[in-house]
Amino acid sequence: MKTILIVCGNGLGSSFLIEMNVNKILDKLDVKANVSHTDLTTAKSTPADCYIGSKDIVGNLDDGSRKIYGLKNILDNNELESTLKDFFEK
Amino acid sequence: MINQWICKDGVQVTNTVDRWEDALKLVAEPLLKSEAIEPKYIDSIIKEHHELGPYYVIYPGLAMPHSRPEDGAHKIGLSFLNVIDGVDFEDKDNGLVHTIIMLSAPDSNSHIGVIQSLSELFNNQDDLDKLIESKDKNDIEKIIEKY
Repeated sequence: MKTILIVCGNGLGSSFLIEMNVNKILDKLDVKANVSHTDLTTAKSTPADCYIGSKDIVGNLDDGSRKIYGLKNILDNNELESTLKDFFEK
Repeated sequence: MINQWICKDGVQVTNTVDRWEDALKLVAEPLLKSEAIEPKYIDSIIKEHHELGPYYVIYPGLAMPHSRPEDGAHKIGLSFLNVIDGVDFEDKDNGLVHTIIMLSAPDSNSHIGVIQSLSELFNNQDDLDKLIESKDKNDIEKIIEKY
């Protein structure tokens, strides 16, 4: 199963909100994945198949090998759904 | 219910603030008074803003500033502030912010209910738009009551 790590500055607020919406969308798409959320510092040392978070944050994770999706608007479920579709279709 | 976590006098409306730092200080006041946070909590949000950008602007017009439990958060607390003229939080994509919701949590799990309730509100486009456009404290309280 793929692992999706949702990242925000301190792993308490926005990443938590995104995780709830990711789980809803995965249900809708009928896809299973391991989803969790954390802060930026922890994310740097946590392996995952993809990292999702606000664009300000996840840019800091870009080391050339990680799969990273930066969201412009973290409450926009359309943006999130197309992000997840992109990840699972590739 | 969102109401149970809102600090005393934790819904405010103001016409204007000079800078985003002033908006953070104003929205933090009810949390400080109820001892949900220490002053350093606000400093830590401002510091992270300088390091990471305004990542807590989560939707056009809406910001949810918060920091970590170890940065001076003692209780779960919520405080709402609407700034009618809007505040520039230096976010290029999401425009001026009108609604600021400050959140404090003493650890990383106890506030799950708060995030769930806020998430329900944020997923209702009508109420979210109404909240951001609210110019009156009673209007904000009416929206919050539903969640």
